[in-house]
Amino acid sequence: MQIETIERKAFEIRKHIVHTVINNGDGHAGPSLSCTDILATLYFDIMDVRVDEPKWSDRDRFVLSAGHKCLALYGTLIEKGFEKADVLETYNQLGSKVPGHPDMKKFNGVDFSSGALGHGLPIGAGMALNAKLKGEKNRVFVLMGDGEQGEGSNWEAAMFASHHGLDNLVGIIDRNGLQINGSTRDVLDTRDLREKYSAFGWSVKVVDGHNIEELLNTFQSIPFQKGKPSMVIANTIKSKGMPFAEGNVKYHHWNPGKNSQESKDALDALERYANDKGWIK
Amino acid sequence: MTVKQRNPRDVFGEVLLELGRENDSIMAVSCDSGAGSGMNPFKQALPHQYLEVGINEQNAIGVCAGLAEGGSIPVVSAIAPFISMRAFEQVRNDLGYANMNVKVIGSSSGLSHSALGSTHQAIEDLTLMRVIPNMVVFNPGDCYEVEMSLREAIKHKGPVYIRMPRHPMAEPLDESQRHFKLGKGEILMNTGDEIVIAVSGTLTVDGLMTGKILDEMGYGVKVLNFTTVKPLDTELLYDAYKDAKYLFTLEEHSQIGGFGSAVLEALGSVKHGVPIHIVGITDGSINTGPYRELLDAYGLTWEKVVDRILNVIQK
Ligand SMILES: Cc1ncc(C[n+]2csc(CCOP(=O)(O)OP(=O)(O)O)c2C)c(N)n1
Ligand SMILES: [Mg+2]
Repeated sequence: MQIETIERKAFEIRKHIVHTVINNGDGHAGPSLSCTDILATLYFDIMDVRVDEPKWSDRDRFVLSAGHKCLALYGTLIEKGFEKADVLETYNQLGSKVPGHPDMKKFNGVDFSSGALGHGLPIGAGMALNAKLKGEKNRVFVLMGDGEQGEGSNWEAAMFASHHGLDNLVGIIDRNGLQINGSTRDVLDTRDLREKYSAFGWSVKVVDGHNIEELLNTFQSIPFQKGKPSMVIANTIKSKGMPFAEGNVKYHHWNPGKNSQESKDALDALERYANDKGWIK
Repeated sequence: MTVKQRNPRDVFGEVLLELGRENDSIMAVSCDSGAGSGMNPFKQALPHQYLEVGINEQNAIGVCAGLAEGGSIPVVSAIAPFISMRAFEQVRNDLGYANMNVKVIGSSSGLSHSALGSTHQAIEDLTLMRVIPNMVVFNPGDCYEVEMSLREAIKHKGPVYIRMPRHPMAEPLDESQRHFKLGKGEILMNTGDEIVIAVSGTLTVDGLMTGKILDEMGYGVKVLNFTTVKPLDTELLYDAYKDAKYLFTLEEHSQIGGFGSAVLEALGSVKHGVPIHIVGITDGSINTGPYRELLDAYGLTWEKVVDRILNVIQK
């Protein structure tokens, strides 16, 4: 039951992403759809946050290091109740609260602004250290891309976090195998990320990033090892939920235009999925 | 004014490919910057002169310094804030002080990633690049200036920063009337000495429009355009300034440390009682939206600039 509730939330988040890009133009659809199931699992089971008190100091923190996936975060925070869905109607418009990268000063529930890759893990490490110093029990989740692993700052933070034994820090890599200019293998091969983070002193698990049950089990077992930061390598499909775009690097950005064939195909796919699940009567 | 619908990135890509064919020391270096860099045609035609480094701008600058030390001419591109700010110290030490022959391309600069927010906008890059020793800084505003900046950058031996526009721009004059030279500005319009508008980069046409409107209102106006921000054409500036009643600078950049500051630095020691007004972004950009709407919100479109100038001179 819990699993189906999360699946349904993930579906609603995907709808926000797809509708927003169709209606308001250019957005990072592929990257957002790739991490949707992870976000739904975190916010609808794992994380302790308060909708009526977004800045509650003991809350679990979430940092979207790959800030271009913001449509997934906006959709999640809207489903959680932090903001109303109609803010998405202002996407790409002047003065919007939902710019193309998340801004903590504009949108309730965004714990840190982001957009430049390679900033999230150091920030998360700082948050986790702060909690340790104050004896607080909250945890910090940082979601990154796999192409993003090319930024050296991640590895500086990786050394720092294990040195300080930050077992309240959880890194998540949305491992969809693609970045902008092609596959991660062709652009800059990350090779075995599990080995790399293990060598840096992290405890690592590899999961199917679209399997809610697996995600739940994994996140429920945090920290994987006492005294070590945890890394979840989530194997995902870029553009998951839009069959014509799945695993296709071209859909890093998507701007189909209203009434285009692609927008129809995307909406059809969503409807078919809901039908198969028996959610549409 | 001539309106061409050429995209600056495409022009950059075409010229780079032409130059790369003539000189196989030229290497195009990409930081996973995709079509945004305009380098895809180069990649296809000259794969052996193309290098993809991935999402690691600091490493990219270091690698370029090493390539240049061995005689290559790297042309490295990433979105402007990432190449100019993330990698700032590498640019300063390994390209600037080391005087390496590397061309740094800050793509989609200024507010051009207008909907993507402050992380993707670069309104501080002129400040940062200007302060680096040996660095030549170009701020092209249209396709002609993009093409000429790139050609001059390759001819020049030493580090160069080119601050690239993203959107197709009208050109202030027909190309036949323009004489691009590194370190030289140009006069776009000259109907008198009263108001001088010195403009650099993407707001050139807005500056010219402003000048035309003020001229119609009966003011004598000079509009000067500076594609090279460093070294600045101080001679052209002095000449216009010495007889002026007002000098306004205009740029799609922070008012702190950019083109306007360069003008102030150049004229600071000239004995002349005329005020200099810097028109740019006051202090940071947190707003987002469609490009022209955002420029307008910051008071940088010609409609707003006319008002701002009239406000000053009618006081
Ligand atoms: C420091 C920095 N450099 C470059 C970019 C531009 N950029 C945005 S997304 C992206 C690709 C990210 O790929 P990946 O981390 O694999 O995330 P995905 O979209 O595949 O989920 C790039 C290069 C950026 N936002 N920040
Ligand atoms: Mg990826």
